[in-house]
Amino acid sequence: MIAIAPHPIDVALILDSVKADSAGGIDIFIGTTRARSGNRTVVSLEYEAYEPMASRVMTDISEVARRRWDIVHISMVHRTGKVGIGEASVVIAVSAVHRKEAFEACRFVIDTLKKDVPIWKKEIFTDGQEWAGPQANTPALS
Amino acid sequence: MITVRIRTFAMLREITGSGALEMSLPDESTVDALVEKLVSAYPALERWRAHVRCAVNNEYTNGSHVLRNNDEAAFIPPVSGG
Repeated sequence: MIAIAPHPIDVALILDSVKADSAGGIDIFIGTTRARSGNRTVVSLEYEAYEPMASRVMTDISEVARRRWDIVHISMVHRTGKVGIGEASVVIAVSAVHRKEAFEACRFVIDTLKKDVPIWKKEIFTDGQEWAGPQANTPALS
Repeated sequence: MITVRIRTFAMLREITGSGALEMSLPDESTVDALVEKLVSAYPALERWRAHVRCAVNNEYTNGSHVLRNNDEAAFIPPVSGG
């Protein structure tokens, strides 16, 4: 399952989507919204995605992971819109024959998603708001 | 002339006012030429210029990519998903 979702993510559904008799383990990563960013208090995050490119890049990442590790299933779901404190903004689930592959692939998938998938978050603070991530002093990626 | 559809996001969208624009360019124009024209129209984009990736028709590409009529060129500022 690969999806961009404007509604709360159903973690149990994603877990079910990667279950398989051939799997020896499932690794699941849930990214959640922190109440603090630096010294500021966060009220909520607002995510914006470029569709269909975001889903396409997520699919590419899952295919790279499949080539690299002995994976049974991968699911990736990312929220859009307003996400409250403590809510899941992203869920990655990987089932694999052995736990080592599940852990490694899951880490690769979330790390690559954060680097390449065209999704942006705006942090809404008690005293203002700004787009998260590298500011204009960061070198270009390409 | 060709017409390309332009998509901007996050802080870039706030500068261009709309996330979906159109621009006309001479035939065989590159992504770099489109960037020049866009920055001329919206000078505040200059600050982000070195940090933006471009995708044409949903695939990351580079400045020398030659645009075709009705292509969708997206300007991708530093991503922050997760």
